[in-house]
Amino acid sequence: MRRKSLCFLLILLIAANIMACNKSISTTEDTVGEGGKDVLNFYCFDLTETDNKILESAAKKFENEHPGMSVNIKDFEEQGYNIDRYLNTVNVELMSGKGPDIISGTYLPAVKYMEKNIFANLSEFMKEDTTFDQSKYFENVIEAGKYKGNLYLLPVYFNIRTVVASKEALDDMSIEINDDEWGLKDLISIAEKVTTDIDGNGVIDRYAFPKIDIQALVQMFIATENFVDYEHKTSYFNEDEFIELLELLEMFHKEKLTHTKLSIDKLISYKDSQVTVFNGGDIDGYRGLLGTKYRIGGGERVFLKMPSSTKQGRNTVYSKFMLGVNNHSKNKDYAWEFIKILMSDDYQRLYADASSIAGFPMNKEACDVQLRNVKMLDWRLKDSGSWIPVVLNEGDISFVKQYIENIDRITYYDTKIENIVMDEIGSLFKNKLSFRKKDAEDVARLIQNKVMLYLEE
Amino acid sequence: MSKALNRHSLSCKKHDRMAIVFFLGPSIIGYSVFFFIPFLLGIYYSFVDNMFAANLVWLDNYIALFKSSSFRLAARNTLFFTCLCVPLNVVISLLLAMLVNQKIYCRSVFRTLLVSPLVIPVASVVVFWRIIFHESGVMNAFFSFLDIVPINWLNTDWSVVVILIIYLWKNIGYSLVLFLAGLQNIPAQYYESSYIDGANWWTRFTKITLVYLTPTTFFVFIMSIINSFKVFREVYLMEGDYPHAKIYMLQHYMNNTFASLDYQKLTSAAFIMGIVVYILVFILFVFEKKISKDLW
Repeated sequence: MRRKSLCFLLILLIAANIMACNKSISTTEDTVGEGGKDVLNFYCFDLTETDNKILESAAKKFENEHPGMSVNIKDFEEQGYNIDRYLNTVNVELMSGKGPDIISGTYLPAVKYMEKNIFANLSEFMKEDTTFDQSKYFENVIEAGKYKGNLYLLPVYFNIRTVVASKEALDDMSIEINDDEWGLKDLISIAEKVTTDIDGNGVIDRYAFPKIDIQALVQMFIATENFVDYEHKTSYFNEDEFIELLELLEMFHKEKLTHTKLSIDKLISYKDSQVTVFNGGDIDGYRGLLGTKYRIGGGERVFLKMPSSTKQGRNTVYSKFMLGVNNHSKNKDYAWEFIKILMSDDYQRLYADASSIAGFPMNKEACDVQLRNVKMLDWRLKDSGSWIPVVLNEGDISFVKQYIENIDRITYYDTKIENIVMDEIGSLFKNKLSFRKKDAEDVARLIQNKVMLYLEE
Repeated sequence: MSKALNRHSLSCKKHDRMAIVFFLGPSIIGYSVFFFIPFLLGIYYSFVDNMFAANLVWLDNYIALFKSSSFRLAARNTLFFTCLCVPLNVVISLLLAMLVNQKIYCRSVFRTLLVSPLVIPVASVVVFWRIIFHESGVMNAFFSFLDIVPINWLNTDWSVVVILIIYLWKNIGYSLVLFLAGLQNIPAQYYESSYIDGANWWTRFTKITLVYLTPTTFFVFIMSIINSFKVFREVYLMEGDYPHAKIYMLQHYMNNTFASLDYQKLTSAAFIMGIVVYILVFILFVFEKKISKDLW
């Protein structure tokens, strides 16, 4: 009797537990919206105003085309989330089979999610959907984003990262740079050369870089993703290449190649093209290209590919807005339809026309339209009393076109890896100007071990 | 007469049963809801591929677990640390217990001091240890006199020693109290008669003290093992998710898989760890039973 009642109690408790679990899994919030409409949930973080406007208009279009559906766009940053809280919330939802139908993949640990089949395979959608014409888009970028042969995140637009250099300063020192082949070592040696006392008064008046802290410097030059091979769960931080990078950073730090006072923000209003020579430039489309070219007052700037000691790094792009479909969503087909609206000619044109900066549209035609629009802009800049027109020259345009043609890699960030690398490098440079080679090796080994722990978990 | 007695004992039994249910009920329910049933569910999760579709994959998760070099490293580290710290803790606390059990000067002060680490909150202790072992901490200040370059001790192969020190500092007091109680329970006559028989201190120690402390030692052993897993708190507070590879413990592995909500790996790892601890305790039990049987 007693045993029976105990058994009964146990079964009851197990049942209660299971029911509680099931309940938490099956009740996705907002699956049914007002008026019994099915809701398509869209999660994103930190989008620009333009993005949001275009998204809203796309949502309206989608709702008109599919009367039984409504779209719920949720930008977590607007709701006061910080990045960690956003990542946690989304992670909990996605891993418990809930979560949005569509998600912007920019800040997520994208590759880990791809491994766990969190995202639906977009390659299949593209193949099966006859209305989607892949040839309209930069196919090499689509190809570059594939993981193990399949695409999980589709960029709506993409951005490129360059080094911006003062043309006058380079001409002045008659320096020519072959950016197809240069590495960080070359950049440093040029930086040393250009950091000089021009007027001979004993004070350095031209620096290679604006004032920048070591953290930003690392972020600018060490693309952590180049040292990680997600597919084979390996990283290469302990190899000579990375140690060399650390040593170069040290030189940077020690030799005082960066301006002592003027940071990039202050330089914008500074009307001297020669005070600093290089700065990092994230190019958000042709309009961004034009803006960056003349961002620092006085004088023209030229664009160079990022120095890289790896072959991988040179033709990498990243996307501030790439979309994935939740594999556990009931509305996968609708989600794809919504993405297709954003990828349609009209909407890609909206991204091309947007006055605030976004990126290069994935649609080739829209990208050309963007260039045309920028060419028609009549921007002028006041330079020593006279207004000079601000224009892109053929060199800049062919630089971008060539860059885009050769893109072979999309960056998927992983904040965990980034944090591990930053913490260790931070401790290497903490309170000191230089370190021994052994220290750099130790740090490289530490990073390697920790990243491997993460990858192998 | 006998019938009445029978009836009386019956009603007594019924009464007892009620009392048993009344007293044991809450703890059984609590134990089941918060521990036993989740554990059973955990075992179930370790045999399916994901939480939603829940297709049975049998041992796939376990195979994936053993293929993960992070798990293997964590298991190795945990085992190594436990094998290192438990015997050390038992030996040192026994020696100290024997010391403070004697009539020495300021005995009660020593006892209080040795037990005090138990009551200090973890967070404040962590700050203290950081000050000691940090790159610009006390240890390095001391070594700089000897012209040794500052080292971040927790980021070197020495980290395991640092953790060992923290563990011992935290746990010796507790084990010491247990041993003291055990020592005071040994009848003084045994020692007196061994004196008369002319036994030396070593014989007295091995034939009386150790033998009569067996139940206590057994308990201290188990508590030390359990506490050796708890040192994770301090390590985590000091070094975060991914500490130096030498102090990456099973709890780090489980914590990280939990954070990334990889339930399959988490539950498989927890189940394996549970089984290993169970086997360990079982062996100890058998061992203890054997010795205790000879004892009484």
